[in-house]
Amino acid sequence: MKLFMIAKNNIKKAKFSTATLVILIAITTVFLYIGTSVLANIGSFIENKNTEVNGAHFIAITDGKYDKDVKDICESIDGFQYMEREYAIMSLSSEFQDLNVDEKEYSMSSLLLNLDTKRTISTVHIIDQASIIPENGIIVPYVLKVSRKYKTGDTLKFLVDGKSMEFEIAGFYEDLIFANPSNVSVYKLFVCDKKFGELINNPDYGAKCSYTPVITSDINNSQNYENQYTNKLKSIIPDGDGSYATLNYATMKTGSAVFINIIMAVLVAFSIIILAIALIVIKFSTATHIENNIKNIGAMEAAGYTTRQILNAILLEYMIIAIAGYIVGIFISFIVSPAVSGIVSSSIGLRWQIGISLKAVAVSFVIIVVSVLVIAYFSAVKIKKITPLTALRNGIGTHNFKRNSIPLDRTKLNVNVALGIKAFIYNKKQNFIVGIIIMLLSVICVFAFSMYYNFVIDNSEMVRLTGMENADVQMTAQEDEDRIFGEIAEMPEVESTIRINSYDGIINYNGKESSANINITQDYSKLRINTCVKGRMPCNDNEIVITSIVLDELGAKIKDTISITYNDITKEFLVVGITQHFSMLGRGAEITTQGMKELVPYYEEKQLLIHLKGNENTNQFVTKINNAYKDQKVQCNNWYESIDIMLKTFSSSIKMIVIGCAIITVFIIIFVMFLVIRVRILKEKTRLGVSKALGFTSNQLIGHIIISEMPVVLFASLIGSILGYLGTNPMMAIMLASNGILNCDFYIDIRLILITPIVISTIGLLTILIVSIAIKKISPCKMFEEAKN
Amino acid sequence: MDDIILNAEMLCKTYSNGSVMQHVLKNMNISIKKGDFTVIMGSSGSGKSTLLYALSGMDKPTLGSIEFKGEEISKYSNDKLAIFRRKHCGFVFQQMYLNDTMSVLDNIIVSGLLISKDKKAIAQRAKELLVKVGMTQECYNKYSSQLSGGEAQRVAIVRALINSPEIVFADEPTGALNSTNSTNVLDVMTDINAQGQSIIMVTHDMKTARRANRILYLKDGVIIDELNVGVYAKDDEGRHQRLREFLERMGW
Repeated sequence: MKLFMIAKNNIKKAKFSTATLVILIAITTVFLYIGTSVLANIGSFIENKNTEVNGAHFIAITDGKYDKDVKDICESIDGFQYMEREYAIMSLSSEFQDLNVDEKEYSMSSLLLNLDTKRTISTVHIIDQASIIPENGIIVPYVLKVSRKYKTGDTLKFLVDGKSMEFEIAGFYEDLIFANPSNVSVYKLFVCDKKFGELINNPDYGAKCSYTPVITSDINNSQNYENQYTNKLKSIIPDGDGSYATLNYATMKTGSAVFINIIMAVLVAFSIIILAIALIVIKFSTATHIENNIKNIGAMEAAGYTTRQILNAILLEYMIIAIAGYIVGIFISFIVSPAVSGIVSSSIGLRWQIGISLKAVAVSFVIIVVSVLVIAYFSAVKIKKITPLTALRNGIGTHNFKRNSIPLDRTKLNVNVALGIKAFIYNKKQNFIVGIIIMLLSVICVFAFSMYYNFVIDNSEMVRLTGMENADVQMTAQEDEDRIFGEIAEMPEVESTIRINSYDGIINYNGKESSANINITQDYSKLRINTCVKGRMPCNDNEIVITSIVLDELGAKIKDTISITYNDITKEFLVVGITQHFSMLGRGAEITTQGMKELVPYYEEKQLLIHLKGNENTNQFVTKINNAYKDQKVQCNNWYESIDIMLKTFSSSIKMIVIGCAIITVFIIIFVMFLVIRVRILKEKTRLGVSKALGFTSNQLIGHIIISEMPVVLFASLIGSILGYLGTNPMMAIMLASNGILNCDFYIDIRLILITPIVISTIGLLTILIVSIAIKKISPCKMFEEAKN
Repeated sequence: MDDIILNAEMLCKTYSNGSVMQHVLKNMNISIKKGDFTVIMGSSGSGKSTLLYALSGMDKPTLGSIEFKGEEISKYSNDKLAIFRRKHCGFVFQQMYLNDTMSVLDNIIVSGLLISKDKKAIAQRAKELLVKVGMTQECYNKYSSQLSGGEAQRVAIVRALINSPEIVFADEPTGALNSTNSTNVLDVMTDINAQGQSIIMVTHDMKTARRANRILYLKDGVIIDELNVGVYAKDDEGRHQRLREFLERMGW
């Protein structure tokens, strides 16, 4: 009880400092709790969601010609339990527009299924279901509700190659595999039986296909199941024609969490920096508190308190502050949880409904409270060495035998400048701690505003990190591709074209195998996005570059020889480089067309990426191509828009996060600067009062303060800005490492190195002036009387 | 009247703390002559230090006027008072308040530099004054924490004298010292007064009060009586007796 009284009194005495620490700890708690609760629960959340609807472990979408072969293959693979098959309508060049929200038409491939089909795999649980589902009712993915604000009852325009149809949104559904276009760039939609019957026989709105979901005995081994399926299917369809897509739960589960992991990693990174600032502020506050209260400490010791009890009172004080800040932070976390749910839901496309995460509460509580107590202990432990008499005689720092820097009788400096510099030199140790605080503030400032720029203003680096070529148009041609692609290359709207393909293959090395999405093109120098981070892109037929995730799995490195098998033909490739991208979950490789032809002699690139000239209208061009080649098996779509849509949900979520972080950073800078400078000035109150008594004017004293404080602020903020400039990209690379990213090249405006110190110094200067206004008004005797108290 | 350097009329000082008003000085009239060694005595809370700070321009009176050599200072702004103090006043505090980030010499020079830019001349004068108060050359580069209480207070006296002030204001300068050091400090103050320095000192110690030629006794913010005993002489028992009797009458 007595220790609690002492702690309570200490807290009351230092209200501003306490308030600042509570705020810092609260902000740390919010970021840390939200980050850890999402990261800790995302896996089990997705698993439970999938179980709710008995989600497919594996899905094959084919053109319907090989249904029996597909069935045989599926049943032959170890782990098969059961499957279903139904017809669907697939369109790669479909577009959508909700007429009730403010949006333009946008491209997204579509897969239409019959809502009324009886299915046991990936059952449809409708959210916000219309009271009566109209004939033109459509059930759309839940991600459209959270990220695009679609509502039940909205009119959804569906366009394919210039032909349009309107549906009424009759509800939303959740399905992990098709949850988010950033995972699979296809909307799976359900229409009523009558409407489905009309569409399936109308080739204007897409091609009829077979949709085959499979349940296996081990959901977590579904990627292996897919690999085996892919290998076996190649023996039936060597060129892959007729197989539109294969999808597996394990890959999609990882993929759906990629962006949310990045977002939460940003939050956790911020929380760690803010916690570091809070801990150093605690160190600073503890040292100042002991100095200011040394006589009280002496009096308590004289009265019979042991140093351990006094130390425990300080620890109790900081524990109270930490717990108070933590409680405020948790409370704020709950208030913002709907917004967080919105961010997570729109990122993963599933309705995020996690209550209090006890694990996250425990982890964040332990991290914060233990860090605070450890720092407070090591900052205050020197009390143990202080005797009552030393404390009463103002023991700490009693003996100062330092060299007398800038002796006034010999210096050529003006007296005010000399006094300011003397104070600056004298307070070296404290200046160092204050410098660290300001440095960290500068680092976080540069980091926050760089993230703001790169996610809110110009996300081109994010686009580059997807690894996808930023062409305007993508098209595929199943026949006569040489002629068609040649004609397109000659079109006046076209600046350049690149023939490219990809397929999901298995790479082998030393008995290990790893799946990868393998890109194939003749000349990698024509690609505008360079994903190579080490070595070089392949030029020869026996060369390959691979992403770091796949290389790590194989245990291989540059100059090793790996092999790829395709239909019993095995070819070895020399690893000449490492690439990075987080599309395809960072699992990728690149070989040349010639290299692929040695594996598959009849291989032809059937995809074309098209860069249009300057101001050409992409959608008009797409429509032109689809119309020009409508009698041939050609699909054409706005490629850049697809990437944009893929990133859209992520972009809007990360925008909210970085804007919030930037605003909070500004507040933290102001608060902490105010605290640190105010404490230092008030600590000097006696000295300032005596100086005033001797005849120094207030302006002269303010000048001394500015000269003694500002060098620390300026120098530390400059160092911090430089560290922020140099460290932001490595920090981002560390956060994205689990997605195979080795280095980042986010744009960091070099002007931040100047702007940040200017802003922080201005805040520091304003703080000095504001606090000094108080000094101006007080008479000298009141100053050292107040300081005595 | 010519040698009156400080004159206060109807001096009042009131402190307010929320709804509580505390009248510390009440309609006080006081004049200080050049060369006087005036001591202000009284019981705790009588307003001694408040009077000292008001007369020295360290604190502004609530009502009344203070004239220094014909100059009305009670309405001055804080900065004007600071300039007034540096030119005309010297201060010696009970706690010394030497700057512990500066050496002994720098503590003195920093005050001198408020008036003059000639650092060499100021340093020279500082050293001469230090010799006068019995401090040796070894002390020049020492810090305040390396000095005894008496030595530190003597340095503070030199700091107060560096600009040749009209009046030295001392607030219980021997309050934190042992008797030997107190005697040393009082000897210094007596010496400088003998050379014509005007001193106003607050004390509650009779030994200190003996050094003064004029004693003002305060009670509840009012000067209830004063005594003029003439110049200090160590062995003048009659003088000391008169002082004793005066203080006994005052209820000290």
